[in-house]
Amino acid sequence: MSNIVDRFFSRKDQRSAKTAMERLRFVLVTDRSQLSPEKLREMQAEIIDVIKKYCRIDESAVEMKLELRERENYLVADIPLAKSVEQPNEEPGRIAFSLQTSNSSSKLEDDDLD
Amino acid sequence: MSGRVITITSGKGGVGKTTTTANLAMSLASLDKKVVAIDADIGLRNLDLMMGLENRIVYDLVDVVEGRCKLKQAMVKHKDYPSLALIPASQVRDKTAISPQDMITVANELKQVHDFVLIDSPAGIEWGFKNAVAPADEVLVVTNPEVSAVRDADRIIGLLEAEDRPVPVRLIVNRIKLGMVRRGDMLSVEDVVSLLSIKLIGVVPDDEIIIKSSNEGVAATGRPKQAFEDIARRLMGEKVPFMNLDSNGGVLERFRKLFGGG
Repeated sequence: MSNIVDRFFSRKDQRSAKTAMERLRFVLVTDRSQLSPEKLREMQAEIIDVIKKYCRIDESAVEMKLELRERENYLVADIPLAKSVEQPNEEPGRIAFSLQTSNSSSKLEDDDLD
Repeated sequence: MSGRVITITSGKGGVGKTTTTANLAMSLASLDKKVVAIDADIGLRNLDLMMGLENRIVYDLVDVVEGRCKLKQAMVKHKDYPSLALIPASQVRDKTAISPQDMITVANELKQVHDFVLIDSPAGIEWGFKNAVAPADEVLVVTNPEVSAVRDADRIIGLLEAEDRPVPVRLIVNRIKLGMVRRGDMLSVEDVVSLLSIKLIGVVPDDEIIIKSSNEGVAATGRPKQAFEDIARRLMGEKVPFMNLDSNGGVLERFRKLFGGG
């Protein structure tokens, strides 16, 4: 019965509010950082070039993205190091870093409401 | 007395700033506060209509700033609330007729003799917005649970945070449709708050009553009235729990509940 009712109310795989959340998360962090996806890709390529001077990385698995945490924005990067040829059993190392891009240094406190 | 200057803004137009300003002003006045509401939307005034005072206007804000009348002469007393007055915007001039410093001067004078000075900001992020927030001690950002309204609210909040003198900013989520939220087809209040990460001061349900009361230029009734009164009390420092919007779901909602749909 529940299924029929659900179908009647056109339950899709993903409801539109969830889509709205995902789109807003993306667009807000892009707006706030003024870093377009294109610029982000450019920067990622440059950073990878720098890192490659020092160590071997698994380029295909590099992930760099902007992330929203409260009113602060982070640049989060996941950069797995390539498996070493000499020591094949060793776990791959990884570099992970995050860089804060927020300009909201002054968090406002307000005790009127909990 | 030194009252508080509170600016109501939104970024996006049409989210209910003016309706919110009018109803907050009337709620505060009905709670015995001395209130003046300023329409800062020069050239596109509407706060007078929402408050039912459109045919009592003699002078306006630009007349005050340009010295054609005393501040007191531009204040239109509300017919139902003796402790409430409106300073209308000029309908013939544009927003460049006023500077942020003018707004500070006017607001400072008004806060000497009022508990609350509410400023209805125009939409946008330019001149008019800057005028409206210049004298603010606090800002209320009004948004709707819709992608464009939330994005514009975020932009406004960012601009306010970047001010030399940042002031507390709180959020009003207007026109929430609980039935749609429950079906997963509208952002919930929690969603909007988590995206914008600022303190919530009020939630106003979407209700046809608002159209009726604005047609008549009177205060909202029913659940919106309660929502605005709750915000007024929170502004006064009272701890008011957020309204349970779960009751009175739409017919389809109740039907779906009846048959066990989640």
